[in-house]
Amino acid sequence: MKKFLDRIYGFADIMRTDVLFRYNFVKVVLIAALLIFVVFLLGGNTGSSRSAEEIAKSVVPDLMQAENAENPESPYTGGEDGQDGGSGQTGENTGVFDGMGQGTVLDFKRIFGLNAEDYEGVVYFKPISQMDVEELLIVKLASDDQAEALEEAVNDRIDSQKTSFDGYGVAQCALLEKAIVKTQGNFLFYCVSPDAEKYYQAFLDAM
Amino acid sequence: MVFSSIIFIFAFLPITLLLYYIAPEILKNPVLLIFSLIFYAWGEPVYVVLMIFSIIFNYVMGLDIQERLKIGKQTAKRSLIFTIIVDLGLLGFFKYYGFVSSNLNAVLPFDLPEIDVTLPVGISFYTFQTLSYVIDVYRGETKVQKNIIAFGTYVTMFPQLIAGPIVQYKDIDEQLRNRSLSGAQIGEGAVQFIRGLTKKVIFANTIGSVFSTLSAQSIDEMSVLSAWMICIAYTFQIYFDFGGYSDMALGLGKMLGFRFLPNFDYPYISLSATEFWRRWHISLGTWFREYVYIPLGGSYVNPARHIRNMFVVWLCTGLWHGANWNFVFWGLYYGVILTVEKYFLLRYLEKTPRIVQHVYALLVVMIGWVFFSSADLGTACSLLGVMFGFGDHALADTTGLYYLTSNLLLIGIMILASGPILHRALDRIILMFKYPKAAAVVCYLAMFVLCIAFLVNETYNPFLYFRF
Repeated sequence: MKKFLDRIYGFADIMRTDVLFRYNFVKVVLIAALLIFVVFLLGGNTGSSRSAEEIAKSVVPDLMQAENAENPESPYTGGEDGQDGGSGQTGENTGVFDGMGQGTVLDFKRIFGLNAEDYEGVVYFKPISQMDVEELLIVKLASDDQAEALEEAVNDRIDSQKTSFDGYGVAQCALLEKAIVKTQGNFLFYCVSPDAEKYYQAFLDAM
Repeated sequence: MVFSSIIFIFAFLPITLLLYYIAPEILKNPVLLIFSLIFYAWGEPVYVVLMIFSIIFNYVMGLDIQERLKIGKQTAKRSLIFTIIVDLGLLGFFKYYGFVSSNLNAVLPFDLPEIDVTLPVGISFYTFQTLSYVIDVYRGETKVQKNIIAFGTYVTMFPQLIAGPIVQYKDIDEQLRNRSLSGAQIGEGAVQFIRGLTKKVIFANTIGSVFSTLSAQSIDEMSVLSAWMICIAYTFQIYFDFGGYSDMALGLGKMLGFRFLPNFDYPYISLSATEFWRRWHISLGTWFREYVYIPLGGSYVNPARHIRNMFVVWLCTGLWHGANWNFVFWGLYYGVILTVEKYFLLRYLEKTPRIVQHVYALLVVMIGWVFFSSADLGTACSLLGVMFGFGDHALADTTGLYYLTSNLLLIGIMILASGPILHRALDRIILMFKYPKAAAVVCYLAMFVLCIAFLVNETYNPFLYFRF
């Protein structure tokens, strides 16, 4: 015990008198804290390094296969190395499923008021007709600060749809009430569909 | 949070300014520090920890280097090298790991682990600021800052935190200790802020939507006109976006009593690429000149080493902008152009009419922006091919003509606004009134209201340089 206390007092003395020792000690503590923070960050990061298109293929594999076979990739729809290029193309509309059709960069802009190029990747399936509300959106964020504004735009979209169908579209409003809007790491998932839960689970598995 | 957002303009800024103005002198730095941290944490609640680490670490290292200088230059140099390694290591990890690992995995017999981390906003800017501080302390060009609040205020100051300008510590040291606030300076700052807001919200966002829409076309079906419209739209968008942001940052700085050095000096009136880079993103160019180019020997070495120094700087400039081969190519593109100008072209160019020099400079810059804005090199080359008539592309199409004719007035105004003409004309018109101050208030208030009207319409409009 005495030896331990002597060591503590000795350490305190050195810290008090030796400026460089003090700075070296602080350096070590800071670097250790930084490493712990980085490990915590990487461990807690539930994002994914996959592209939005890859995630979407896992969610809706049949549709994405048909779309990729038919439509050329556009480099201007955002995404890592142009991988998401095909998802924003108008092209031939072979992609129809579950009341949704293939959306384009312009649809994304028109409906959500956002530019697809601002994100790492965007995959959007829009309602197939004016009377439908089923839609699916998967966005890979370029930075964390985009999540809030994107969620707000999606929620505005849901509110706008509810207003449109209020009073006569009972089934549509019911679906909108069950809409799923989730930010998972560096991805945002939004879906209005009777199978929204299924698609969301597939999305989580793909992540 | 961005400057061009309703929540910043009507909530954050008024509250911050009110508390800042009523705070006594001794509390101004702490108030500014707290609100700057809130500003950063609003968008990056996790990475604010990283910035706080950077503040404490570089503060301690500044003191350490100062102490070691009393013992000897070598020991201080080791401390400086350690600081640079940690700072650049952090920047490198968060910004470049994905890029480096994906490229190495393509050639190595084993795979490096994929680590997915989002880039902390503004890390390139505040890392360069802290590096400038420790290097200047080592060189003896500035006194060490013993007040951690003052140092933290320098690093986190919200006007220039997330997208510059990169403020060197020695330019602001005195202002951190002692700055004055006058009504005239606050007014000057407000005017500059509104000018920047106008550039960003009205010019950049509007022409940016033209760029986005036209870019969505397939290159195979694009006409020459549409390709040029894409290039022209991006050329204006990036200038008014970044230039507008810088004006807002400088304006906010003035409202807080700081005077930052200007970051843009009408770059599109340049007569050569060399001149362009003296007028564009001045703070970045200055940083690389002081901390990379000059230590390597600058131009005071033999031509081979001089050329090497230029290419090192331009490679770093390209990489600083992003972890992508496009940016590397863009940086090296300017390395080549500036070397050719320095050793050969400029002396002939100077003998040609100004209009020829101007067209040359604009062409060089616009071609550069094609590489900068494209998703990959292949796309950039394809677009350039269409622009210069290679391949089977129509000269014009209805889409290109539509966007040209419907944006002709805007393009005309932006051409004028790219130079000093419009600003001087506005100032002269205001001075013609019997009560010029009242006229200025009405004029800038009208611009402000117009910007708010545009903003209310927009959902989210981040700055292009946000991602650096």
